[in-house]
Amino acid sequence: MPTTLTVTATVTDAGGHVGSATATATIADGVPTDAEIATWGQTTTTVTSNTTYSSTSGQVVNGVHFDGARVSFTGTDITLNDCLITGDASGSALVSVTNTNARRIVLNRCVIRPKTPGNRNGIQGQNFIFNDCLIEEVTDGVSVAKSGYTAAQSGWATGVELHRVVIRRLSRWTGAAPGDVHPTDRVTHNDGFVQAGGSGTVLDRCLIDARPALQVGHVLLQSAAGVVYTKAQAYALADTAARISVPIGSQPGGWPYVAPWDSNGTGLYSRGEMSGPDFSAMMILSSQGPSTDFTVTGCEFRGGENMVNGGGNPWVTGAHLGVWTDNRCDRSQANQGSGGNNTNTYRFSGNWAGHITFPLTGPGANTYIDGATMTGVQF
Amino acid sequence: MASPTVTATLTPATVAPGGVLTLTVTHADTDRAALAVSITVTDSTGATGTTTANAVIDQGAVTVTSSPARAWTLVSSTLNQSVFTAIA
Repeated sequence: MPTTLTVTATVTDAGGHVGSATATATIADGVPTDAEIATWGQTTTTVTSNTTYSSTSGQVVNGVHFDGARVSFTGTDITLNDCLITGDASGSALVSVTNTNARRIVLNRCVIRPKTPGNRNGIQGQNFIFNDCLIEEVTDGVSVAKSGYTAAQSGWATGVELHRVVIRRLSRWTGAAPGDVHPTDRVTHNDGFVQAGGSGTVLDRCLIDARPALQVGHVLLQSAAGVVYTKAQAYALADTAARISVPIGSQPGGWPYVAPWDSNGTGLYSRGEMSGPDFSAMMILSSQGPSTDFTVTGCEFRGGENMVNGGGNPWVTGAHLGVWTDNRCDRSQANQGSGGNNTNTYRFSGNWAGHITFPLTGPGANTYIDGATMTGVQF
Repeated sequence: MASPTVTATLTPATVAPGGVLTLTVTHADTDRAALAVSITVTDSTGATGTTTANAVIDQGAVTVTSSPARAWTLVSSTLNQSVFTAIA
């Protein structure tokens, strides 16, 4: 439950006379609400060129709209408050913390959302801490990777903490040929959060919804009569409403080149009708050594072909996948499994049983959003 | 003598644990006045020297408490306004 913090300021003059006033604020708990999100990224100044912060002396940046501009970091102990970062027209992530000198980069109440449509990620790198931030309409939301990784660095500390971060509305792109939008595929593979390796990442009360952005990228819905919806209309469609893509090749330049999503046959948005293929809320990989020692607590996950996909991160001797408690999820996975309480939610898929703290019942249990006990979690 | 008048504003209205809260305290006192004293000394030859001194009457001392307790740090101060921060 949120905590109300009450502050009393008292002023005493030379004669001992006293005046006082109080003010309150709410210390939020749980995943962020839409009302809270709407208060983030309130900017007061605008910057229109790509910006690199290199300070090492505790620089604080407040309320900047990076309009058509990316932000990168090469310094340490830099904080951005209430910024809106929209990136440029390149394929680079909107925020980059890939420079190996960057440390303890903190973003508070920031919004990361592209201005120009394009196949690019929200933030990429390591050593960053987000508090109360929104990332949306990008291909991958958060991509944790170590620049210049070598095998000798296996087990590296990611330095990544996400506290009450919302990642949603992933932007799906299609390609005329394999390799155009994905190294081997004709559709992007979208991950709310993806980690290439490393240890110690914290996800605390985050909301990661891996379902595609509507009327963004190459997902454009229309009515049965062929009238393209507005974004508001698309997001307001009923759970049972047909999701109809504009025809392949119908848009300027010939997109969508292939079907931007595959129906899973349920006809229900809440049962993953638009959640596949190749969407995930969390993709856990080991291309930079094993990914281990997560703290994932109080989070809410939605969508994904398979919601949390750890198939690329098999257990290795001595590894522990960390502590996963009090997380909740919906049933909108494209891969429905046998349905009910057995959709494809957590697929660690690498002999992690006994090497992860992941209660299914009792204190700290990970459950469906309605509290139902999960079956079929694949350790 | 009058009591000070005080207003307090806390931002942001909602913050995550670990976030920064900023408290702005604005205060006034009808008795408050800035006093400037100028002293001129003239010797027997008629030569003069002058010095000045400033003082504030009823400047007021600002203290802050909160529930639940937090450590509040004064980050700026003027005659009528004091700004504090704390970690939520």
